[in-house]
Amino acid sequence: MTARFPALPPPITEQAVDADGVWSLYLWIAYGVAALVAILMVWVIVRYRRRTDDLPPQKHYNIPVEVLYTILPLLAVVGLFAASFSTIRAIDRTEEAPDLVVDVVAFQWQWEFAYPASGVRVAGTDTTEPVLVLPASSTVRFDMTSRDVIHSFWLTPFRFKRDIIPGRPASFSVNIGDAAGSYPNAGVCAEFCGLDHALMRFSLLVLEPAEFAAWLAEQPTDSPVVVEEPSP
Amino acid sequence: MRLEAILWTGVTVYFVIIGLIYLAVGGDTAGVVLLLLGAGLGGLVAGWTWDWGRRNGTRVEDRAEVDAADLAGLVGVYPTASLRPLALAIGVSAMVIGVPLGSWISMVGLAIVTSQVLLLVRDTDTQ
Amino acid sequence: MTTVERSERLGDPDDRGLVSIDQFLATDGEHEARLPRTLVGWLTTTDHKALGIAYILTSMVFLAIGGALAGVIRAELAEPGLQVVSAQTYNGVFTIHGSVMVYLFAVPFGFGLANYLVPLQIGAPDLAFPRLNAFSYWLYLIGGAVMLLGFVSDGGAAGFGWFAYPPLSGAAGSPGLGADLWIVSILLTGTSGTLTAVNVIATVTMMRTPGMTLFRMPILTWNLFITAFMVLLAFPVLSGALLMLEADRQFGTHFFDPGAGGSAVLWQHLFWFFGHPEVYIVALPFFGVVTEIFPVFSRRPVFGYKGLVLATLAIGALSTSVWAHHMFATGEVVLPFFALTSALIAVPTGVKVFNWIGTMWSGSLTFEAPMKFALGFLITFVGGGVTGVMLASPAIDFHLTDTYFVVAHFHYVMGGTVIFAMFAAIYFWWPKVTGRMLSERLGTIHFWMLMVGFNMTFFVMHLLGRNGMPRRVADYPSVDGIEGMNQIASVGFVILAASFIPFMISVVRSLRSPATAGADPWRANSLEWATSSPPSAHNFTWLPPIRSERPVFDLRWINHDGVGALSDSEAWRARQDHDEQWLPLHPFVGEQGDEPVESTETIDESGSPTGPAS
Repeated sequence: MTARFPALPPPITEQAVDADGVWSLYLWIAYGVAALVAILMVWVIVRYRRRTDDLPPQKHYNIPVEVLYTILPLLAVVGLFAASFSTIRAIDRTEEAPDLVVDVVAFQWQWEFAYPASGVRVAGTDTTEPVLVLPASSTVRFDMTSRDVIHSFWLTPFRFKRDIIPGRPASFSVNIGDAAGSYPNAGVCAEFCGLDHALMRFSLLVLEPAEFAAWLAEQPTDSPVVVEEPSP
Repeated sequence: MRLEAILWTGVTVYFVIIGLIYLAVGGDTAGVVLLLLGAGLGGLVAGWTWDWGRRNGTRVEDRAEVDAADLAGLVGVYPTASLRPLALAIGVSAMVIGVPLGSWISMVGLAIVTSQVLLLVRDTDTQ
Repeated sequence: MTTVERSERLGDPDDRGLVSIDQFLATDGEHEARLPRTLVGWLTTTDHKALGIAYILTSMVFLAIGGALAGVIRAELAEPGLQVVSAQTYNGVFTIHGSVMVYLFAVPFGFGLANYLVPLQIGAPDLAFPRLNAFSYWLYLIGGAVMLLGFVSDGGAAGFGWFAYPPLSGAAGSPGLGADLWIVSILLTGTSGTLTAVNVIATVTMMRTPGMTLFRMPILTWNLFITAFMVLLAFPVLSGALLMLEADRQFGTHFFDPGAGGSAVLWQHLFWFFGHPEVYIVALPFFGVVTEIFPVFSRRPVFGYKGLVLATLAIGALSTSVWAHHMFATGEVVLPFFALTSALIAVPTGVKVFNWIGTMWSGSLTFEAPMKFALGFLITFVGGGVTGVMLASPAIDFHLTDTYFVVAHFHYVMGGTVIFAMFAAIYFWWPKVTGRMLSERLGTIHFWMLMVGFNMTFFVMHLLGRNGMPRRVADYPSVDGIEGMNQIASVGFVILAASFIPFMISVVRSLRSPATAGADPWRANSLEWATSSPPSAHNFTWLPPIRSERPVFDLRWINHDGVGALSDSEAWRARQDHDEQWLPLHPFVGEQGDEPVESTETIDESGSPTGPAS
């Protein structure tokens, strides 16, 4: 996978692992369907190219075959839907009592992350991207609001994004695995939000739970802090 | 007309069913209203085609064994070339463009539209 | 109408008794084509063929404009950073690129096909409402021009994407005049589309020639008919939403303003209730195009005609109940409902693909330019279709929506299929419209350049999206591989754009050559090939009997028992003995005028005068 997706970090949440499972399933089925159609096309192009001037058999329909190729795709897509259904429920879920709550505020064209339990706020500056710091091996809930237009909070290692619509606070939660490390450029605003939409990015830093607690305790609570860019 | 009527009735039934399902699974209000309005749109045409078929019986177009010659008589009255469609389009565009650009443009557009509609009505009344 | 000897009618015996259409057509210029020759003629025409050509030419001009804007996008993205344009200009460029391609190119091209071909395919003299038709064309042209005016207005063109989500598209988010011009433009072209849809539905319902029952209509006409219904359902919703948005901007209402109790999500529901049917409004006419082409170059009837019609109806119906799959990431929609309906739409689409392959199966295939492009359509369509099924699953969509994966997906289903099927249509109907052929050799070059250029440009976008590149960005960080993939796409675009050169050469050469193509150069099936090329004023001087969905084929094989629709050629001969059978259908009095068009008095009185305008 890394060869084809060099810039894509590995999945770091349980939900992301599930989503990648569904992705692989769908991807192989997509390859299969595309290959089937390609083989059929090559076959008719090679086998049935014009050889004589005779009129070929004028067959208008074949009900059993038509029913077959209606039923089979129907079973396939219903099966795919059923296979991904439980994953959808698992991914699209909000934990009531997580280990950590992060308030995400999106505005043109920056992010601010706050840890309400401790009063710490993290922001970026005009020249540096904000860094979202999270603890590994814990459940985190994001409560998100937008100050102006619609933004979308997307973390590529989460394989998940959620739109932040002004006037409608949104939440989702993830179970982060044992994935301490830094993920530069992992955070993206995915909904077009105006002039500098392309620059509305952030980085992710995942610390071991003890390190995270220590980091959080060190931070001042009176003004937003700027976190050092994690080195790639 | 029977087949057309069945087709449009099918459209109506589909939108009623899908609208009610969407309502039942907790869909948003706008979507439910739009789907049921879709049923209304289908029903409008379905009703018209049923009624037309009932009053006029089987048309020559719907019989499988007829030829072009079976449609004797008038097959259509076609309009001459006309500047009205272009003028009307300019008028309608001016009416809408006036909303951001200034209401006097809308007034000019309204005048064009009014005059052209009247002229169109006069054009049509030639028999 | 010239008198035709019986022996000529039944075809040249050396050609195995095949009947040639040209033998039935007047050659004395009595019914020659009358396209307008002067500017005033074009400005005032109500002829469906002239307006069809105008629609297609105008949409091609918009394709060129949209393509040039795409060139700006690919040039900007060839390297990280901002080199070619500013971020603000870039936002305007991709907004207008999307809007031009969707609203001003793809949909109106389909309307152009409907204008030109629907009356011809069902044996009608014109559309039901010719002046309404002219009115919709002018609205479309003016509306399109208004959108482009945004580039010269204060603050530049609208820069909020082709789906214009408020509050960004509101008065505070986009204060410039360009946004208002964009709204007005879509309002005008949307109204134009609605009126054309009314016209097509009325024409198909009321103006079919006798014997042309619904289930004998060519699939293209069926698809345009179903498309017209979808337009009728979808476009007014968009127009309503646009009026609300413009009222928010100009009159201080708060429909979509969350700060004052409005709802930004309401816009998304209204827009996508239009927007998803719109995808099929774009695609269905082109599905119809290839369904006309595959049988002709396979020498086979359409395989599973009724199955195809039912599949199209199912697509039309389902497409109206999948809209919120564009909104999965908002967390405000019923995921299972939309995931299931979106996945289900793959079934009728799959049926269509298998029907097309079934049409070619055990046929006698030749690969003239229209067939090449139709096969190219099939490949790109399947490529876009499988990614569509992937995006229908929210588990995958949460990662991929609003990324270049989606850009790749819809450029395969709305870009590639439209471009390939559009050229298939142009190469196929060019002889009918102009009476001349296009070069096969240049067509082959054109096809392969387009195939390579298109896939090179858009295939890597799948990888870009999965890698985490969001759509609508003027700039991107230079991380592993992203830059290289963007460069592949930009080079691919150059090849894609260059593929239009052989096509233009071919067009110019063809127009300079004499019109010698004849009525039926491809030995095709449907009624438009039963008239001269270009068709005469009010289309037909005579019509063959219609006993199946391919009357011209039936006529061609009239001397061969068991090939055409009638199993007994004696039955055909018996019918021909009635002179009425071969009488001119619409003997016109003078120029295109207000005179009523009547059949001649020699026609028997059994038929009831049930013409549409009688």
